[in-house]
Amino acid sequence: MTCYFIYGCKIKRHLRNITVLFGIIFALSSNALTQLEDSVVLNAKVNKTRLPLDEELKFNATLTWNKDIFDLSFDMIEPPNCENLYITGNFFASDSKSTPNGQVVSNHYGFLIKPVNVGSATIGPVSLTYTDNISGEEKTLTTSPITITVTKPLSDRLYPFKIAAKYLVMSIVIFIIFWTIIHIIRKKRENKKALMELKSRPTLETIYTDELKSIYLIRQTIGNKEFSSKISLTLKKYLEEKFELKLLGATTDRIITTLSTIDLLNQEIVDLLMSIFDFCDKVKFAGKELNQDNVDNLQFKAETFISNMKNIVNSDDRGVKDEPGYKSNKRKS
Amino acid sequence: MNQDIKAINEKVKQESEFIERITSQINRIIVGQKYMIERLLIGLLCNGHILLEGVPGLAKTLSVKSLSDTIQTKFQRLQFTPDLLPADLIGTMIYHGKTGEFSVKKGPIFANLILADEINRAPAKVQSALLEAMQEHQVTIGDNTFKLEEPFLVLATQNPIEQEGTYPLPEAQVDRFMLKIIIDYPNKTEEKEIINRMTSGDEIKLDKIITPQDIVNARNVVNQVYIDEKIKDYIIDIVFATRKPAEYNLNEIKPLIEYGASPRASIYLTLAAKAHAFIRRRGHVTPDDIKSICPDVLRHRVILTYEAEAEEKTSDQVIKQILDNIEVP
Repeated sequence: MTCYFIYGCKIKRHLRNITVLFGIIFALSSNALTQLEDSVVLNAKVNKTRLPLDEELKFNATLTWNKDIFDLSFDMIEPPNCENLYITGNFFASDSKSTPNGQVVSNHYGFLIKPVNVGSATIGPVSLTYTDNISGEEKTLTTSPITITVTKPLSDRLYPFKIAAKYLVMSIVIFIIFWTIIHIIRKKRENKKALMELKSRPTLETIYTDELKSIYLIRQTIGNKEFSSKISLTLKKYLEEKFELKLLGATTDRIITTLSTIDLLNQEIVDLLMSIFDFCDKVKFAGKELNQDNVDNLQFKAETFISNMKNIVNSDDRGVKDEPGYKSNKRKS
Repeated sequence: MNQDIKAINEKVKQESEFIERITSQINRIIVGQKYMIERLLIGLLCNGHILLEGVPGLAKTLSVKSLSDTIQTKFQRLQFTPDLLPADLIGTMIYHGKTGEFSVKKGPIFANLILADEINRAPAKVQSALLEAMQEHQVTIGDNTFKLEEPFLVLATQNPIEQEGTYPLPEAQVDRFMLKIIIDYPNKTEEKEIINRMTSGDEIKLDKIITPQDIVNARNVVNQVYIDEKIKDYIIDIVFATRKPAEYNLNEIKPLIEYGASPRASIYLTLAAKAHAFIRRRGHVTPDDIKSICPDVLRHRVILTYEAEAEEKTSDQVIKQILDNIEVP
């Protein structure tokens, strides 16, 4: 409560101060108006005293008098003499307002002025002669000359920035072009390198053909049964890698069924593989005995199969249809 | 080809000739269910008992009945009920008042083909009496022990949907069955054929194709079917993978298996694979035989954990995962 009371007192004090201040301002202004109303006044002013070369300014001469006291007759005002400036147009306006002392009239004579050169410029004095029809008195009113500073045009001032921006944009564009060219060159170089590496790297077919050949070389050491077992295992591994299939737990029938679903493989290739696997199965599980001709024939068939597979694209385009129980064995590369 | 294996192949081709005739006879009554009929024949050829599981109406009983009709054997059907006693099954001693002596009254188990319908409805003592007979191939009534006539094959059925008032077979007793077969519904075409056949009103009588001696002969040939060491290793790998999955890079199924398959699984897997090859008229076993028969042999021998049950994993899924990951020779 105490606080509110203290704050209330403070607010009241401020309000009182503000009222006093407004009172003083009102008294001064009404005094000025009274002075104005007692005489004929000619004022001249410009909207700016400093302007760029490519802009224009407004010069305004205002004649003010109390119509109830004065009855004036006067000529039209002459345009001011300008130094380093030229007038581009003019306008006239008049208004009046009622005051306790009578009706105050204002005539506004406006001129649009443009600078000629950069530097200093002057708007000369404006004179107006009037006759008071009541007293018969003739008077001439003259305004003071106004000095104007003309600066460089705005466009000229922005020029360095424009140039800088232009150079900046050009630099960025050049940098982008340059960077793109370097990137393309680097990419081409990388591709070339990868291609070279790919060319130099042995293909899947080469690797597995070599493996088949190495098995053939050790056939007498390992025996015919193990030979056929290794041949079928090598082909199984090759197929796993070639088509990214999981054939570890697949039997011959399952492998053939899976491969039959690959669009890229024709029946001839599948049949060839089936004959190899069937033959190997007979050796492995049915105790079929092999002679040298059988071994050579099996080796030849296996190599032919891999050779025929050369032109068949790898993995991603393999076109394997969804086969239950056969998950892709895609390697992380 | 090795001369011995060649001879076995010839013998198999000769002896397995009746398989097709039996199948075609059974197919006169049973529509589809090729898988079930094939497994019944495997059981017959391996002297292995079979547990059939399936919802009612899938021709389980009819299939067994039809199989028995094609063989000149004594067939008995036993409907297991909660009030059944062991004596109702194996027989009992009967007292004759006139002579003052006891005589043996043999029970229905004295037959060649026994269909134990809804085996899980009978109490444990009846189940164990049957399972003992299955294992020993003999029955003791009083002081007398009677050998059961060969072939002696028990085909038991159980219904998986009605568990109330049943006595589920303990794992140890389920293990006595060589195969556990899950019978599935027929497809649309088969169902249509069933409608046509069963609503015609014609009574189909099947011909007796083989004698019990033919079965015994066929069993001898089945035992001779060649199984390579590589295939044996493959069987061992599969069975061991159920016991120690981690050793076969099957870590994901390790928490799902409580107990792996017993050595009996390896024996039955070998025998069943031989019979499967025989049915395919081959004198040697291939990995395809193993893969085909494996789920039926292992299904009831791989005991799953509570975690597996919570994840709604079945032993079939676990077996499939094992088969997909064990390298085929």
